[in-house]
Amino acid sequence: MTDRVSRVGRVGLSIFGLCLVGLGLPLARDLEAQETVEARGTPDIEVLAHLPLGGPTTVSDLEIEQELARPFAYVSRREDFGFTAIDLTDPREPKILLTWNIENADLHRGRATDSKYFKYDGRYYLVQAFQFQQGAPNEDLGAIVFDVTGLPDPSEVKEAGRIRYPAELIGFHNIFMYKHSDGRPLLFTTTRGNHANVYDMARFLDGDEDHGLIAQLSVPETPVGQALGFSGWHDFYVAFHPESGQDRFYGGGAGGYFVLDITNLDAPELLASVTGVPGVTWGHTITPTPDGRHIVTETEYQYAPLRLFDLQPALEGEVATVSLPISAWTANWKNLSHNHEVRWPYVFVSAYEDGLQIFNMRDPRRPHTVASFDTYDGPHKVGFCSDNVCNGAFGVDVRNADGLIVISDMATGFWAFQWEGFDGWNGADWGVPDISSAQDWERGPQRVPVAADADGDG
Amino acid sequence: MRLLRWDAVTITACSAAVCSIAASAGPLQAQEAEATRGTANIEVLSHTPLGAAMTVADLELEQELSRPYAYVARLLDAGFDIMDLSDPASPKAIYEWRIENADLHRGIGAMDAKYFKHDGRYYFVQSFQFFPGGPDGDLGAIVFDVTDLPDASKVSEVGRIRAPDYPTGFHNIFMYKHSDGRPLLFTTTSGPFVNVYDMERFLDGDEAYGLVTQIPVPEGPMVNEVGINGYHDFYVGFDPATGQDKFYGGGAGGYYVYDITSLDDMTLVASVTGVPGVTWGHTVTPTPDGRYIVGETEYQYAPLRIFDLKPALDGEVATVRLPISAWTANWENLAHNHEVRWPYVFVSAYEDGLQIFNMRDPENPHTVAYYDTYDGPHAVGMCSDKVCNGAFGVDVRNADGLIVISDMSTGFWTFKWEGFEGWNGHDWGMPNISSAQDWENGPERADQAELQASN
Repeated sequence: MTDRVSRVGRVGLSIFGLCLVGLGLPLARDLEAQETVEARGTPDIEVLAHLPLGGPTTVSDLEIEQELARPFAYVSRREDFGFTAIDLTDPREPKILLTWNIENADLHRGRATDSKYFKYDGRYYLVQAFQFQQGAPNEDLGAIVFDVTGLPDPSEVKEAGRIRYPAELIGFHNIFMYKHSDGRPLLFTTTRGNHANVYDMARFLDGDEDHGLIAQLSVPETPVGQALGFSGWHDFYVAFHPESGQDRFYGGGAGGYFVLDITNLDAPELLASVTGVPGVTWGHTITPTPDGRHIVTETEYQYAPLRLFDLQPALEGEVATVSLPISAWTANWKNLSHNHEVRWPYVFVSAYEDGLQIFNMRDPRRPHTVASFDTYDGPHKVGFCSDNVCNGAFGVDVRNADGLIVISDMATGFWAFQWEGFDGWNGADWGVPDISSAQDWERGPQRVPVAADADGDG
Repeated sequence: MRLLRWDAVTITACSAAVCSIAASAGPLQAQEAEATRGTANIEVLSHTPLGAAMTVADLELEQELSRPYAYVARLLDAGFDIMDLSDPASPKAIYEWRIENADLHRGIGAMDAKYFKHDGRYYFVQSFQFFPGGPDGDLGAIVFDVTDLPDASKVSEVGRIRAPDYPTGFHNIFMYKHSDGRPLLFTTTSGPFVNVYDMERFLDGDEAYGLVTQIPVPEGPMVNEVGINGYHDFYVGFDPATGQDKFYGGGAGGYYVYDITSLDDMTLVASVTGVPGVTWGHTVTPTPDGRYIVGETEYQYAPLRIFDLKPALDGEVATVRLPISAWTANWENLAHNHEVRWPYVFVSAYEDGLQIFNMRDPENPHTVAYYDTYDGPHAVGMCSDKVCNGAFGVDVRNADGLIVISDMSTGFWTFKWEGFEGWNGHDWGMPNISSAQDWENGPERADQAELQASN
């Protein structure tokens, strides 16, 4: 609002100046008409590219590779049951390299959901998650792994194997790839049960009969989870915590949000929980700050803002559980924000009907919007979820090397952006551990604690 | 709106031509930076500070112009004040009552306040919540005879309603003139039901305080497993279209509507449950025709949600699960109680003070007026998230449109809203149904409504 007022103020002063040279009222009217045109985004967001990908609701999440030498993004094709690989050699002119759809697509019922990539033993792999309904083919299929090392040559993309989980049907809603501090490339997946599956992808690629399944992480029991019949996780994030030397799992699910120490996957330990939060019965998406102190969380219903929690009281044992957020952020309280990528102090949000949004959480108690671009230009409430607000920007990712931002929009397709002044991200530049969803597949997580005070509050 | 004002300024400046006026851009810009406390259409008639912060809770305004009295519950002070509004621009505190041995009591204190008229006399009911371990842990409410106001010396206590089986008193109460003629007091309890008292029997000295029935919260997962039980608040209104007395309750799991025409044979006629973000209904107020409800849930960031009950009332759905819209003054705060005078909803919006929104189009409610009665810091109040501070209670006098607010921190306020000179449902094509009761005649029935409308 301040920007708008000052802009109008500048316009006003310009008109005064033009009055002097005799241009007068006709121009004022023209300017007035121009003011009524809604800006689609803030001036500091440059749209590099927009690539429509077909009919509405055929797009879900996306993933971008982090190495500049491999400029590839993968977009899950929700109701097309596959993925699209996009070449971003020139981010202003993205090219579709490959669209893969499941065989006999017409027989399937369900969706392609999440996508993540990893590098192992010199080769690159894409994991595409699926959820197919019971009674249709592949009802036990959770994900398909593709060897994408040969990109940009699409003919070199090969299926490396399928992860099935017949014990609990309907596939994997969300997945996360993590380079554990013990060196293993781990795939975390939701299941229909009350636990996440953890797969060692090295074992999977070696042909393990159990697809590399090595552990399961259960949602801690809560009264709300039991009462409402929710079980299991909806989404999660895994990150190394340099200060403690722990690998930490951050999960959103039945009853709230939970942090587990998974340094030893044979003995995971609950470190902190966020439960009993008014308005939160089911945690959806969760992303910690690089130092693991704060978490940004989503709950999937209209009117719910992203809530920010300070985990410190729980991590230090001062409270049994955190039950109140310290702040919240929303692009528009009448809508709903979805996924988010934290690049401290910024949070990049795929905010459904509000498109790409970026907010600053340097002061975690006062997050504020710093940039936006509305990728969704359709009507309100014609999307998914029970309240129909799940439409528009579904997934977001950020390439740390150069700050390239990508969005997958359920209705309008693939977008690439550059944010003025954001030319990349490394935690050390901000006095925080260099921890984000982007993995260092060669060396594993950064082990050295950062002494700087990330919050600036002592 | 702001853009249009600036453009008008700019054009005026240009047409007046020339540049001496350009210098005025600076002061105008500075004026823009000043925050307005309210909209221009709200007139503050009076403001009466009532002492320390957090000592004020709900309030009640008598409806007859010949009895210009408001009652303000004193939260931690455990009592109430009576305000004489003979001149609304200059209210006078004419009576102050506090519980005896106040220092020995533990609890929230005085919460809700309602009045009723019976057999030619006027009574005021003040609810209390005291914790066990101190005196009056079983006290729910005290009834006072206030017939002889403004002579405060004649205010007298008539009796006390105790509920020893479910201690910690009554958080909310509602007085309703049932279509069978009885003056009924509805009270929350610490159990999974509402108590209903026939106040005629209470006044006659009934041993059970006139308790005639209990209205349960329908069973659901939130009641059975999570331990949230009981109602938080409610409203009772007659439905001329069906001839039913209807109870609207917010509590464990959501909101519920009962047909309580026969208190011995109550029927659940609609429910709003399984709503994302709503595990515990707080306050609920229907529109005069009973089709829509305005529902509050008591936590920061929760807007007032508006639900269309018709699919449930018509039997098309087992329960309503989604709001059709929502309203908030500020999404970072919380709005509290509300009085519906269709198409307007008067809200005591805690930190955002008095707010009025229009729900003529229930799918697109929008703010039409406000005044910020609370000028203190953010999140230093009650409730787990501390946003319960500021405007707690609101009431509207139908006869002349007087609006009153009780603010937890700043006290008692009276307002006039430009163009709102009173309310009668018929003026808006609606049944003349609001929280205001017709203690002489009881609720307006359909035939009466038609007659009124034709007149």
